[in-house]
Amino acid sequence: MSATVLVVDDDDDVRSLVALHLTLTGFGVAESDTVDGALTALAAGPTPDLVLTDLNFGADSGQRLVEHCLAIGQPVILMTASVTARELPSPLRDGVAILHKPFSLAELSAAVSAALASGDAP
Amino acid sequence: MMTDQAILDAMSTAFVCLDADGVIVRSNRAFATMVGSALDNLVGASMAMAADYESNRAYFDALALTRADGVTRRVRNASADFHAVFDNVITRAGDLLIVEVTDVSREVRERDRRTELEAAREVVWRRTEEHILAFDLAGGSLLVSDSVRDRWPIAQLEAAMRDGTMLDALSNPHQWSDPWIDETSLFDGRVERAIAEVYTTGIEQRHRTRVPLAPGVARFFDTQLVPWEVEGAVRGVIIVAHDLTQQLRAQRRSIFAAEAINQVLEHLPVEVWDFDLSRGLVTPLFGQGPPGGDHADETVDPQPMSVILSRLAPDAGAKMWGALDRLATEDSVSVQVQSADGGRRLQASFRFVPGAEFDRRRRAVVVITDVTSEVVKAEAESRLGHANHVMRFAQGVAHDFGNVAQVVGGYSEILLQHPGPEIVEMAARSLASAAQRGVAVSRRIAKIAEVQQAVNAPIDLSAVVGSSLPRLRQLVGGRVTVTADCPPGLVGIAEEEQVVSALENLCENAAEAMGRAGTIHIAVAPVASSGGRFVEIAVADDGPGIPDHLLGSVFDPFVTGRPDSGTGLGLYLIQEYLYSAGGTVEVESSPQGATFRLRFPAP
Repeated sequence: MSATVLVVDDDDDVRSLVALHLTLTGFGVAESDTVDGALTALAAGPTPDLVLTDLNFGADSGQRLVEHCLAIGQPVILMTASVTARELPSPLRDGVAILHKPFSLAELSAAVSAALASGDAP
Repeated sequence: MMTDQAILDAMSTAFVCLDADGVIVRSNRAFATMVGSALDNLVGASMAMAADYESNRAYFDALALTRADGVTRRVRNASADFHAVFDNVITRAGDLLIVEVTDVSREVRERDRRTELEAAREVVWRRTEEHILAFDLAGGSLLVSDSVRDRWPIAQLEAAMRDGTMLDALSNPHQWSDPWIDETSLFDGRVERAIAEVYTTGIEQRHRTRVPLAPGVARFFDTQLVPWEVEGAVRGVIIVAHDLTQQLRAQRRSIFAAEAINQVLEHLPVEVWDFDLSRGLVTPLFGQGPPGGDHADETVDPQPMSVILSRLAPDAGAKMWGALDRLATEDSVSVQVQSADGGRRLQASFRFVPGAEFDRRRRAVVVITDVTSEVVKAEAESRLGHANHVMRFAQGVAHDFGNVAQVVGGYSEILLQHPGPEIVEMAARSLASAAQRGVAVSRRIAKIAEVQQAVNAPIDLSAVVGSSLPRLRQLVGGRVTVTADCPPGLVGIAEEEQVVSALENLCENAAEAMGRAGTIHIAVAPVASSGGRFVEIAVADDGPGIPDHLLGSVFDPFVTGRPDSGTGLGLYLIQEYLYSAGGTVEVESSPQGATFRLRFPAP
């Protein structure tokens, strides 16, 4: 059974792109355009193997979602267009895999594989 | 001795008859009236009255002695509470004692009062600062009164007067141990001549005398030499010496204090001018004042306003006169101006003085404060703020173009790997959408330059709002009502295109926030604040208001609460425009709706 990824981004074009690529490379994909929607999906289950989330949701922030994932041991990758790591809220600087936008699809695949592998390790 | 009771009662003198045991056997009406309630204390049924005996002991002793030897005795006694004092004449008549009682309470009290008065006067004399000497020159004697009486060796002085050494003594204080005499060296020789003069001319003299006590320490007296006339002839001279030392010291202290305050003020970057608005004249109250003058000790004449203006940059005149005009309707007005050399920033605050209307002049006080350091600090903060602003703007641009590049790059890769028709269509739609976003962002960025280049001039903002209404109503759709309150002729400094653009943006945001149904009210009104006079355009909606977490950052670039996520630049551009036009923009929000207040400077 293929691994599942929850893709969270309020930018329809970016989310669709990521979801399309993951689908084409054999993953099961769920999508959410809000942090609250993603949190609801995580609570309702089934639990995805990986969460891939944007940071900047306009008024909202993906930080909530990332912290929730870290708390429950859910593998997570943060996608952000922030230019430097300094701009990230300090709790996110360490211990979270980060994909800097714009990223190539090869980088996306590599990051997803790495995250899933480390998630399987323990 | 038996006396008819009627005769006794008719007598005005009080009598009482006591038997051998001291018991009253008879008394008359005058006695009863006089003694009254004191009767019990005085005699009583049994003369024993142990409790009060001590206080009346002399009286009882007199009774006993009179009884023994029959000699008439006089004795004073008092009632136990001392409210009444009696004089008693005790006479033996056979077995009886007849006591003639006189109430002397009033006389005793009167005498006590006089004694007290004397004592009080003495105290007052001792405290007075005045010393009075009287010289009886003709009679060759010295008369002394007042507080010094008991301190002066009068006999010695009188002797001195008689043998002519008195005046020598006064001018040679070391002969006298009395400190006051030391001080009255006073009269440091001049007293001799002065006394002689008053004596011969009969004309009163006054002197202010400084009596040095030690280096830097002195006492001061106002001395008054008054001829002492008896039957038209000058018989002597009375000297009244009033000690001014305390008073002068206090005065001096206050002068020192005032000087100290002035010295402090001179080092403060503040000056205060009195401004006669009806004549356009200024008078320095304190501070620097007109250049080149020390005005501490002289009265300064009012001077024309140009005295102040000559020290300021050329454009200060228009600002200051503008501020003065506004004092006609406002109590206080502040303007910021530069010094003539441009090196200092000064704040001129004009405050109307209401009470001055009594003299039919309109008066104001002008406080000029050097605010250079504050302004420099504010400018530094502003630069820092601008740097943050630029940083956030750069982040926002990077984010938006990052997303565009992400979509373009990603779909290009997918198209290369999966060139099927299904993918092509999906990719083409997303690529077109990304391209549109790129265009929108670049247009908005271009607008920032436009905002900065706006040509602001006085325009009728009421008219601008009025003429925009049809366009705004069309923009927000039929379910949103747009009302406006724009009194004619409110002129602000702005550019019409920017104002209309701001109104469109605010109405579009409001309509979106209200779910495309509700009321938007636009009000134009003049407002005054510490920053000056403005014309305000307030755009209020009755939507749900702005979420608290967004309220602080609505004007930041790339912040948007709209689900269709415009570019997040609309309010930022409005703010940029208003700042560049010298105005302000503020937002208020409650669950009943949000209000944006755009303030344009009034001309």
